[in-house]
Amino acid sequence: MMIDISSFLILISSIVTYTSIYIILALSMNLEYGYTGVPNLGKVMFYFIGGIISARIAMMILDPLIGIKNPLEATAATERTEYASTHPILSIEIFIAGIFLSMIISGLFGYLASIPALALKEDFLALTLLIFGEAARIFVRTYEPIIGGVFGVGGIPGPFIWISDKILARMLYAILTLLIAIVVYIYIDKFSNSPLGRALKAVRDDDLAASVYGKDPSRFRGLVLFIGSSLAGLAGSLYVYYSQAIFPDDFVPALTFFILAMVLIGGIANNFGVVIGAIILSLFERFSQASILKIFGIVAPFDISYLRYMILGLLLIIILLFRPQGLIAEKPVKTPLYNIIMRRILNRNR
Amino acid sequence: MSSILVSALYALAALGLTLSFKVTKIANLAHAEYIVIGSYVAAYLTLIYIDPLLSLLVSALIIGSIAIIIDELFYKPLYRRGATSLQLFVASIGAGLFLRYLLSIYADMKDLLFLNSAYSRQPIFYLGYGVFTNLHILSLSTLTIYSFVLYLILFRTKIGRGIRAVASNIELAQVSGIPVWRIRRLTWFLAGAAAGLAGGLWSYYTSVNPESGWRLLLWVFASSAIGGFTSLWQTLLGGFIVGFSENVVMWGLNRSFGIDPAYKPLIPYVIIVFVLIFRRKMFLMR
Amino acid sequence: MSTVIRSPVVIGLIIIILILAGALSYILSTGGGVQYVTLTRPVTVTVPGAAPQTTIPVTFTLPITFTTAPPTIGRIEYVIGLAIAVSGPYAVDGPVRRDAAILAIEHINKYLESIGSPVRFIYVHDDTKGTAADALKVIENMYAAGIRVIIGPLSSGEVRGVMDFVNTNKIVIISPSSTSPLLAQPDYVFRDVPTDLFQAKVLAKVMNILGIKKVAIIARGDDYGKGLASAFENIFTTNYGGIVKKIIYTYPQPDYAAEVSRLSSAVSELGADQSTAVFIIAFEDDGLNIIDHARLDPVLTKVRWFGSETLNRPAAYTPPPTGKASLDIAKFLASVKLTGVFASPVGSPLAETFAKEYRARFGRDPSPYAYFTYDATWLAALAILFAGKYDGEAVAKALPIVASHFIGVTGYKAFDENGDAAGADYIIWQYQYNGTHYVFAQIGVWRYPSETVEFFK
Repeated sequence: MMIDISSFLILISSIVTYTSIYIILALSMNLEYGYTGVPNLGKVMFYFIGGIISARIAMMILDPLIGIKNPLEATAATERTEYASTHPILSIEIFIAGIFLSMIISGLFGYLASIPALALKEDFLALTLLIFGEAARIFVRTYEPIIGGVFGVGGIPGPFIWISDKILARMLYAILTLLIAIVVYIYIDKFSNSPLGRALKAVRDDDLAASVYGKDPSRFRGLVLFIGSSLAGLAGSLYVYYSQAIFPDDFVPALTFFILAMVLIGGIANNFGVVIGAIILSLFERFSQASILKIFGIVAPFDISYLRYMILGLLLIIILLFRPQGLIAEKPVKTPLYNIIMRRILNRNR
Repeated sequence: MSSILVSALYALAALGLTLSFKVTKIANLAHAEYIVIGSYVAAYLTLIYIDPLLSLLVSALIIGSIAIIIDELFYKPLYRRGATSLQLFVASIGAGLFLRYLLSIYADMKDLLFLNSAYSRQPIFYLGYGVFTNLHILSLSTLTIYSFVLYLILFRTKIGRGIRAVASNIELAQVSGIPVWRIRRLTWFLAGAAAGLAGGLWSYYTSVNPESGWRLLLWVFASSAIGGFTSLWQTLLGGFIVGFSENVVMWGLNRSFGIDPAYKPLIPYVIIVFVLIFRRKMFLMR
Repeated sequence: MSTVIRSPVVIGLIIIILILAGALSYILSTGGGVQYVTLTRPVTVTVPGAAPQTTIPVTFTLPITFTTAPPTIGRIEYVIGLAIAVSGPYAVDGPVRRDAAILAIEHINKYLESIGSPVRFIYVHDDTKGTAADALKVIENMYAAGIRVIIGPLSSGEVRGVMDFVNTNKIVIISPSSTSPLLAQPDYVFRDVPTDLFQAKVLAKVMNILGIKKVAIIARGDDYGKGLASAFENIFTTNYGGIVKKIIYTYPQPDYAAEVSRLSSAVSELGADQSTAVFIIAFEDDGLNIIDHARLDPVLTKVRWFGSETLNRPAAYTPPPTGKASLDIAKFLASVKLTGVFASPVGSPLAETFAKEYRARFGRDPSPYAYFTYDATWLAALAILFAGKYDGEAVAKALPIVASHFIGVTGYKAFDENGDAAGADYIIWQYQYNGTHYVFAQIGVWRYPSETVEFFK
């Protein structure tokens, strides 16, 4: 049997792309839940919204240009792909427009979701957001004009679709998502290691005390949900431009639980830990698939996907029981002032 | 007519859910799995020719015990370490996943991914568009008996008083010398039993697969929500409200606004959201 | 230390570990029915562009059933990927179809061995969970493992999700069950089952001949159900001037009693007589639920019922010993004369042999789509053998040639220019009580080229 370097490259690009997307999602979840204590179990909804907007943008721009009558047909998908392949500038424009609009609109929805956050106790807030997410998914799944309901839509062109070497296109996209993930990480790190980050933690730990000190919890929650959902929208957009199609059944609550596990395992309010958590779980997901195991010559006598979910469930419980702070513990907020003071202390001790 | 039956089942399961929440303050998502395991146990027993009533009882006993085990293993240790209600909620998600897929593996290996009980529904009389069957009688009587037993325990026994005390203020109860842990176990047993009964009856109603619990849970949660997760009477009522809204509300919406009935699954979501908004006092931060 | 041991958590964990260990050992000891053979093969690694090639010895453990001694080096192995969902919406029927593919490979290997051929086929199965995203991941993984010929995915949605990838990377996929007409175009995606348009056409004609003028459809709200319902509605109203009412229900739901009462009122509106019929498009769990409610409904028991090919599932709808359904359901289905069509040659000995061997090997009956999966696997293997090399492009060219000369358990398998089944003979089946058992009896046939219907006496 021949092992082709090129197919390995595709696999690695795929893993890198997915992991980068998961990192962005996990960081946004950490911002909302880890720093601010808002358990956004509806995260997959904002991810979905990002994907929907990106898909709609692509369709709204391309379909009139090509003259597509029935956007749901496979031929429509192929036509879009072919047209986009010969119009590189257009593909890139669609990509950029899609990303920006997705971020803004998801962010807005996130801000709206912060309104019930005022009134509800944390576990009921989690439940409410979970329910919103599922309700939205079922609605989009039934109401066809949005993205073709249960059929979904294909032919959403990625930004590198015009590159004839498909392997190169995938690798470039993987690198692009990785770069975006790094940018997001730097941004979130700056954001959380600032007086603002400290305020968020205050809101999380004791919002009554925080409001006594003049920090308005509802404003912070609104801000954080806006940013977090906007990032989730970004992730959704990246996902749709990667798989070049969108289907409602991909956006189920199980995904939110998966991301939550990344945050819990990696470490609450610790961005680096969360990235590690994302990488671990992403690799776990990929390598517990039978087709990958075959590469290493391992075959299981029963359906391994059940085992994967079982382990995920156990993992959640075990982490909560034995190491609720995660692999890497929460560190104090490193505001610029903190850094200066620490440096001075260290210098004095020398 | 089927609304009556379905409502009874929702109410039964919801009673268990509300009870466990009232006393332990845990929103137990794994209740779904309790229901579906109950279905599998009861269905399986009827298939080896055990009387349906007996199967229901056995199912209730087994699920009650499972509920206690899960609590002792997962929830109680977390609780004793001071876990927040959110963390317990997440733990219940984990427990649910674990149970559901354990069941799936078992079902896959035994080719039981799809199970029918041996119970035969027979019509008793017809009313308009609906039919009243023997299962209606069984479900309604199970609901009544369970509610009655629950009432007797809660309001006529000493340990029942203990349960109510723990539900209202656990520290005070502990200080008063009430055996809190024993009460906790009893509560989980009763909650699990309710789930087992509801699940068993459900398997008599229609076929079940490992995902059935999760799909049912939504409606059950809506019923508990109507009862504010604290009032058992209102939960019972909630079961019927939810059950009837399935048919009646959908029918009404279809006639008046032409809304496609394919949107039916959205009803419990809407109910929960409404209740959470308007019964906010129950769920406030403090 | 003793406090740690006595702590309920530790005890609980020990219990869990014991349970898991017990379960795992039970599973591993009874799993599969396959044996494992370790082979060491030299594997050639190609670097595109560079001249020298390195050889690495790699050890594989493969699942293969053998009836004779293990093979010697010098064997040629081809891998067929099975991207078949066995969870989510396909939790019930997915494994049935997957097993049909496995059976095909076992049969083919048996024949190859019996003639002394050095060729063998091995399979790799992965669960696509019925969603496009997971299907894409599975196909990507298989591609990276070097697999270029794949059976699956099952649903039109998944096929659409992987279409781009397989076309770009020249991977041949044969789907045994995605029937959406929206997917028809010439490419690397082949389907050995006729699209919904065919089934709708045949069923419409059969109903018309039987005097049905008004139909109430109840269909599951996924791409299969909606597609077939629309196709049928179109043809029935346009070609035969019939009246159709459509009820689409969201799947999955725990119970469909509400939809059944709507069906009942729809039938009342159409008039509950012999010129009105119900057409049900459902899989087993929703189908059984709907039928169980319908049998208690006085209106619905008065009309004839027709079903999509997915209703032809003896294991689900007949009572013991052949199936798991209740006697009440069996009586109802017989009384409403549930009728449908199924693409298969009439009285084909191949189909009967397949069903018998499937039953013997797996202990259950094959579902309608299992037949198509079996044929799809055969086609894939034959195309690889015909092409003589394991190359996507070559196999894609070989496939139509092989198919046009192939008759399988589902009949004549020629492809049209889009790589979809060009057409098929359809059996007309009806649920009947033959005096001793409840069966799906063959009552007629629709012949493909002439488009005529013939009923047996």
